[in-house]
Amino acid sequence: METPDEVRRQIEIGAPRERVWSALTRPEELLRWFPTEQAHLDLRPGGVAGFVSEESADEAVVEVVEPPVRFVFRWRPAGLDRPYTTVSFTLEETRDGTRLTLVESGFASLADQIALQSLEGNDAGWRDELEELKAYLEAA
Amino acid sequence: MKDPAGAVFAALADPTRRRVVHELSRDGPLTATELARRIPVTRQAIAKHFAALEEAELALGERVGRETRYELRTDAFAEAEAWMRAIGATWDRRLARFKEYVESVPTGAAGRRPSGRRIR
Repeated sequence: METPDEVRRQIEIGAPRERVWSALTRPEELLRWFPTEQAHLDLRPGGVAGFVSEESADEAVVEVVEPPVRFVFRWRPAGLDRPYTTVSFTLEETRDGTRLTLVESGFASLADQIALQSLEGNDAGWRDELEELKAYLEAA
Repeated sequence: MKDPAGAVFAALADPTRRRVVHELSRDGPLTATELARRIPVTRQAIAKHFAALEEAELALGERVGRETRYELRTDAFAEAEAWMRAIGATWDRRLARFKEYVESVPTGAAGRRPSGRRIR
């Protein structure tokens, strides 16, 4: 009955780590796999990034850039005063290519913040906020 | 309408409450007195956490003699788990596309380097 605060995934990719790093961090390559129509990314700690598609828009702030090993940013839906969740990619070299580990974390504090907002008189409350978040996450 | 998933995450955002939930999930139902022996906070503080969990419909209190025994309501937690699974499934789709893309483009053909910067 554990409900974790993070989503963790690991995949093996048949390509060198430098190659995976590039596909992950160059905006023109992001467009090739991430379901977004526009992407900008200032690849340095504190740098701002954004992903825009018809259904959704996300704003992000880069936190860690350690090529070709670690890339971390926090993000949230654009234009909403909502806490960020943190997305971290870690790349390890393997015999056949690269092992990519993805962790998205911060859902507990996110829910807590939304709870506070609804206590402060936000009538929409839990359900709408989280439905919206769910839709945003699933649409991306 | 309540949002059990949201309530679960709010409950879990507090470290002490996380501990309370953990103990209840392992050994519940428990009273505040029993919990206070396991967690280094006062019985009164535990009672407050119980009340918060009950308010969020995450726990159910049953009066037994002079004390109330609490246990977790599993339905709410199942919703939260489903929610996290949905987020995980979104990443599965993104990562599958990522893998497909990276493996489809030959190394070295990944395209132009940013102009003005020379590798090596």
